Amino acid sequence: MMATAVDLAVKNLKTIFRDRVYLFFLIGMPIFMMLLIGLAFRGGTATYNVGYVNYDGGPSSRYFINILDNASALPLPPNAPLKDVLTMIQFNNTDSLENAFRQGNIVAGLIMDEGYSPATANETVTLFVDESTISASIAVKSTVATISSILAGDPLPKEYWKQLDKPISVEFNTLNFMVVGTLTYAVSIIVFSATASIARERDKGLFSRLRTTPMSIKDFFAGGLMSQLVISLVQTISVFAVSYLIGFRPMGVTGMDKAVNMMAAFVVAMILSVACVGLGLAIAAFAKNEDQAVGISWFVIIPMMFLSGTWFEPQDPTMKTISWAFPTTYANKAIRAILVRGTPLLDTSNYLVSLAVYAVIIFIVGVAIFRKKTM
Amino acid sequence: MKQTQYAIEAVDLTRKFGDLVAVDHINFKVEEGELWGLLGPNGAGKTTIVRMLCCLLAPTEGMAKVGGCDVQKEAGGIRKLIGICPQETTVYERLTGRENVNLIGKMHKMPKAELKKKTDELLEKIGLAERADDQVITYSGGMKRRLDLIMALVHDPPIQFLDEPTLGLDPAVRRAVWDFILELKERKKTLIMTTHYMEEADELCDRVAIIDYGKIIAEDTPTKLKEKAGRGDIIEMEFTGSAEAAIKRLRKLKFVKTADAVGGRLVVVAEAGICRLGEIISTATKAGGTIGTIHPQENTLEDVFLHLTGRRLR
Repeated sequence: MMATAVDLAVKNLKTIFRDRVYLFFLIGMPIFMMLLIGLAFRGGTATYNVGYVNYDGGPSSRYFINILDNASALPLPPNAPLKDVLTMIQFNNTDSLENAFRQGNIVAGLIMDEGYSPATANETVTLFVDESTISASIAVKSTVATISSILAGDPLPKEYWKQLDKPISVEFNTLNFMVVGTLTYAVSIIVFSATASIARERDKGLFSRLRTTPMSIKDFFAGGLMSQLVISLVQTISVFAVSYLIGFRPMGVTGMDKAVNMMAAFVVAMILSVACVGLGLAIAAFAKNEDQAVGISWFVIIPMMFLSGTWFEPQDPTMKTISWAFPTTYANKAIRAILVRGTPLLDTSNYLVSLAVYAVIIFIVGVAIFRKKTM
Repeated sequence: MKQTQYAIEAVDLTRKFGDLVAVDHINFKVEEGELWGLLGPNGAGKTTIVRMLCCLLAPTEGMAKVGGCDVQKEAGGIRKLIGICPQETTVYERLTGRENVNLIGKMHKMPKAELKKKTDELLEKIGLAERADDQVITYSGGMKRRLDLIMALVHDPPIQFLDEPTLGLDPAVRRAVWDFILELKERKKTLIMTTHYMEEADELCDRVAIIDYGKIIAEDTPTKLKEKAGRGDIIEMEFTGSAEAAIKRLRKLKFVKTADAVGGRLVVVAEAGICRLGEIISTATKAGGTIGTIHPQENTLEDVFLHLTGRRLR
């Protein structure tokens, strides 16, 4: 059986790799996206413009603004997650501040009333933030809140000051987040690839022709799965290679840690591929022809991208619940844990096992539907 | 192949698609080494029969055996015995011609050396050797069709299904494919060929089943079919003399169906008229007069189909 499946996989790969348009779509497109994302986010930690009006004008309020503008002036431990992310821009009055906010020149506005002191910050400081820019919203709110607490002399959460046993060598940033998204996007295209290639074989009578030979149906599916896994592997390697060149580094203290984490991410990507091939089979079975199959595949891929945290986390609780229907949700969470936070593969077992079970079930269901509808 | 009297046997074979009866209780037997043709217009049910015999479509009713194996119960056994050249060209366009042939050989688990030898031999024979290593996407329609045929034959199956094997080929290539089919026939392969080209069925087939609306309406050798049905051979002769007298005499011959004078010529329609040309000429000249140019036109399976159905094949 194995030899026949390998022959079929080789045939599939030849037909895909010799079609330049198809090849660009499967491999070139993720690389291109990775390049664009890398170039857009390679500056490391982003900075955000925050406007302010200081009606108080006293030394305490000026010091507060100065620290917001230059958080590193505070005597903090080296691993403290407080970074220089805010650029403070002064305005003379509230109207001009609000106008700049509406124009999009600043992502947040801070108004300091007369009588400001660190102890009265709750009553004398007004902050408004552009909630549509999620990363900016989080960064501004957390930075202002943290610095306010420090200046007020409040005890910070214990873990804030705790020295880590294994210092984290790579900090979280948008590039790292987006690399994982691009990776799962690339692997998700397997749904399209599997759907299109299977539907094409069926439409053009190639599947029927093979069925007149002693090839078993298991050989056919095994060959299809093998070839799609190879494509996933090439996609994953390509995305990682480009992201590495741009500046992405997986989490890990030592080189070995990083290599192990990369391998772990590969494992998750391969499991995701199996699930995507299963989805592709099911879609191909339902579709009447290749064109319809391709259309339906995108109808599945796009919600997968938008709801499973590939580019951003869904906020709505209902959408969050729905997102668990997509294999990419488990993959995104597992790969981000591994590559962005340095979580060992086994510690992501809740996501990993769920993804593996999902992959096996959807593949079996996909095969069953295809057999029922096609044979 | 199991020891069996017939290479292929169908009993009340039926296939329905909803309310449409595509194949309607047909019965036939094909002997080993026979070239059996299915002649009929498009949509008559030819391809549906082939698909059922190749285990690609389950019969709704009835039974069929290929190489002694039941199409519904022993598909695995049948797949080892058959090769198929489907009606639609089914080749992988991004593979080379050689890779396409090799793929089918590998599916049949042919030993590597044998596969290479057979592939080279067939590519050479069917005129594709020079382009064998080019991707099929660069082939013409005729080349793809020839490649299709090689893919059907590479594993040298004892039973071969050729579904419209010369569809869309130019006359020269069609002739080459005919020669190739005749060679297979000489090698005692069992061949089932569907066609709507009457001359193809006439030239190649040992026996022909004429199918219309899913039913076999006649089955015999091409010669006997033409003898039994059809308007007969047409003999057109330039004649100097009394056409009326000649026609009178000719009409008395039992095998003459019609005899008329058309534009100064005698036009005689007669069963096996070409074989009986001498008798026709002597009968006409006995009436007084001489024969000039003669244009004999043989009865065709088209005529048989017309006779049986009242419609033309195409």
